[in-house]
Amino acid sequence: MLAALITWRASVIEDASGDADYDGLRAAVNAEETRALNNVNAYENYGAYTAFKRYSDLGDLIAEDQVSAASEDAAMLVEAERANAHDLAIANQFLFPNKFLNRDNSYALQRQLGEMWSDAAREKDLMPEAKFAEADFMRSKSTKMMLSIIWCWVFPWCFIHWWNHWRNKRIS
Amino acid sequence: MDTQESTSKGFSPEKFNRTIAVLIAVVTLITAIIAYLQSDAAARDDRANRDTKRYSIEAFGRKVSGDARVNYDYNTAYQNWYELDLLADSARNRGDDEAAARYEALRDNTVQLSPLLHPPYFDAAAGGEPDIARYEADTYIVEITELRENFTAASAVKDAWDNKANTYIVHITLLAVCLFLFGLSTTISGQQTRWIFAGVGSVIAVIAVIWAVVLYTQPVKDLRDTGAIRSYAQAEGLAHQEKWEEAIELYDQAIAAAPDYANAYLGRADAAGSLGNIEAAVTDFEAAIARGDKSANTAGYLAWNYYLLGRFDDAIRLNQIALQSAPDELWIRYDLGLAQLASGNVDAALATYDLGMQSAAKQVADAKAAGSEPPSYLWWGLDDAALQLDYLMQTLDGADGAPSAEQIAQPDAVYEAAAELFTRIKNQSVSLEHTGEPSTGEISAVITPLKFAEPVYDDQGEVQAYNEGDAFDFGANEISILFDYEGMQDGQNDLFKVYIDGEEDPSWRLIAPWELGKTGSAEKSLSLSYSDNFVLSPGDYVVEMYIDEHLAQRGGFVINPEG
Repeated sequence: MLAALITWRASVIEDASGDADYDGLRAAVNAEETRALNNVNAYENYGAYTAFKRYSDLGDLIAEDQVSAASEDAAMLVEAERANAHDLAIANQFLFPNKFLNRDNSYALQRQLGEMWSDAAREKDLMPEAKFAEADFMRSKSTKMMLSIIWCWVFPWCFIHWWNHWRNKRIS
Repeated sequence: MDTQESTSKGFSPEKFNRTIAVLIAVVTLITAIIAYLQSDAAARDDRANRDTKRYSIEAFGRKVSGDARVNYDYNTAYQNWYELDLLADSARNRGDDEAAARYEALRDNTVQLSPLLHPPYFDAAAGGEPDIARYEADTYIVEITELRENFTAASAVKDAWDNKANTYIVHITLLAVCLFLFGLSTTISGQQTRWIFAGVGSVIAVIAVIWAVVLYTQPVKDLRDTGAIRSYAQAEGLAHQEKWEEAIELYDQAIAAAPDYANAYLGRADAAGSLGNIEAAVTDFEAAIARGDKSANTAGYLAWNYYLLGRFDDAIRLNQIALQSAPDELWIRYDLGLAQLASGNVDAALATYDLGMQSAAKQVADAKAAGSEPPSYLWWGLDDAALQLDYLMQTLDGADGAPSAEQIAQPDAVYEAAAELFTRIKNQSVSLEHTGEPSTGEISAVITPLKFAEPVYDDQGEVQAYNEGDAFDFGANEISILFDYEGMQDGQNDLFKVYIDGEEDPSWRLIAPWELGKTGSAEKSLSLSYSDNFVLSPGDYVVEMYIDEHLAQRGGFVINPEG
């Protein structure tokens, strides 16, 4: 009966270890999905920032050249170029989260990626290792329980054999 | 000799052994049947397990490819159209019709780059923004929603069959013990002992069989078979487009097909709340919770709706339940504080808000120590907490709002506490964001109430005058912020934040060390005057001025809608 109970418990623990493996795989898929999506979106934003910076810097450079325009017509042309560049900068500024613009106008890409990872970690498990470790522990436990069943069979036979031997010795 | 020979009337040892043999045969047959059921349950468990993995991987792939696709369609294809349209407008405004025509020709060519630039998502002739929400829904949102719901449904089926398979093993184990006892009973010579073994074995067999029958008759419901998931996914696609009434119709269909579909109640609650039907939202949130939704978010949303209805005790209770499972969820803690404040329990509210601010500081410190970033929800939670306190104060000042002023207990004490908390939360938010440390100390500088004005320039481009006001017509491309100051020091951190319709627009942040001396008058500019095409967007603007991460002054103006 004891062996039967141990077998049942070992089976349940083995099944639970499979569930833990499943949860760990799920977390691994979550992590890769999060990593892929974050990179797709963050680098898209970075591309928009790159365009913004290009147009913004171009507009500023043109503005510096405006003072040395040779004639009124030339000044109007330069002004048109400057306005176009700055308008295109504004148009691209809507395409990335401005909160990641640093004070020196650089883009905090790693901060954005870090924040996106933390946001995802709030909603789903991104750490598969803990689950895999739990699965390994339970599998080891199940194996040890199955080993103990051997003793459940071996020990009584050894005891009976010794008991008979001792009794026969006494009788003789 | 004695026990073997002693027979009760009609039950000789031979008859006993024959009876036991029959019982062993019957139990063996039952064991074989249960072994078959266990094998079948295990196979169904494996199939559902495989389905979950498949749905999970497919959803992953669809989401990544959908995001990449939409990123291109909007950020590249539409952006190309938009920039060329902008350049065409600029050229036409400058009187260069030839250049405008060239840009328009290029612009019209770009529509072939993406289906986003075609009806029903975009009318190139009318211009404006494409219906990106509809495009996303059609491209991948509905599909991945369906995959994720299928995953959840398959997981539930897997768990149910897994439980059945494991329980059948218990039955087989019990029947194995029963067979052992039956077998042993035929080898024992003592009459009484024989019957005890046989009796115990019989009892175990009966228990195992009844248990197995009860288990077998329990159905395993599979949501995938009801059609509810398809309706739900389509409803989510409509909700993504903020088409709330149409979404509710589809949620109704999903619930009709699967009355225990908690997510459908949740979706319908969101849609009802977005339409302002708070009572219906509350009913559906309660239904979702009754059907097994134990997430902190759902409890928190229900608590929020209770607060809007003025049911502060219920709001407090639900927020506390939510915090048990998600103690670091700042917005729930601040909502708890808000409900306590509105119910007149000012001391409890102050303590709750204190806990929230300490939690925010700890989360920022922990993130920095781990080399990571705090989640965006932390910053949103702080902003939202301040915003809701502001709404509460506006309601007590006479504005329309939910809950109404009449529902708020001890309005004077509540107003005073709300004003104090508002400033503390604002200081904490800015301090944590810019220094990583909680807010400390006070400021000694004094800033007069902010005034807003449109500058008037002379022919030399110098400011001639300011037209002050609270509201400005659409088309304004520059608003000046005017104030007097004293007690300032050069080098202090000076930060301006601009909120439009309650949400900060970080592109307007003005951050610079103070350089204007100790006392005087100053002007800061919100300006798009360098642009040929852009003006300030219509909306309610609120400008906040911070000195060394402390809120020093706050004011607002309105840009009226076009026309």
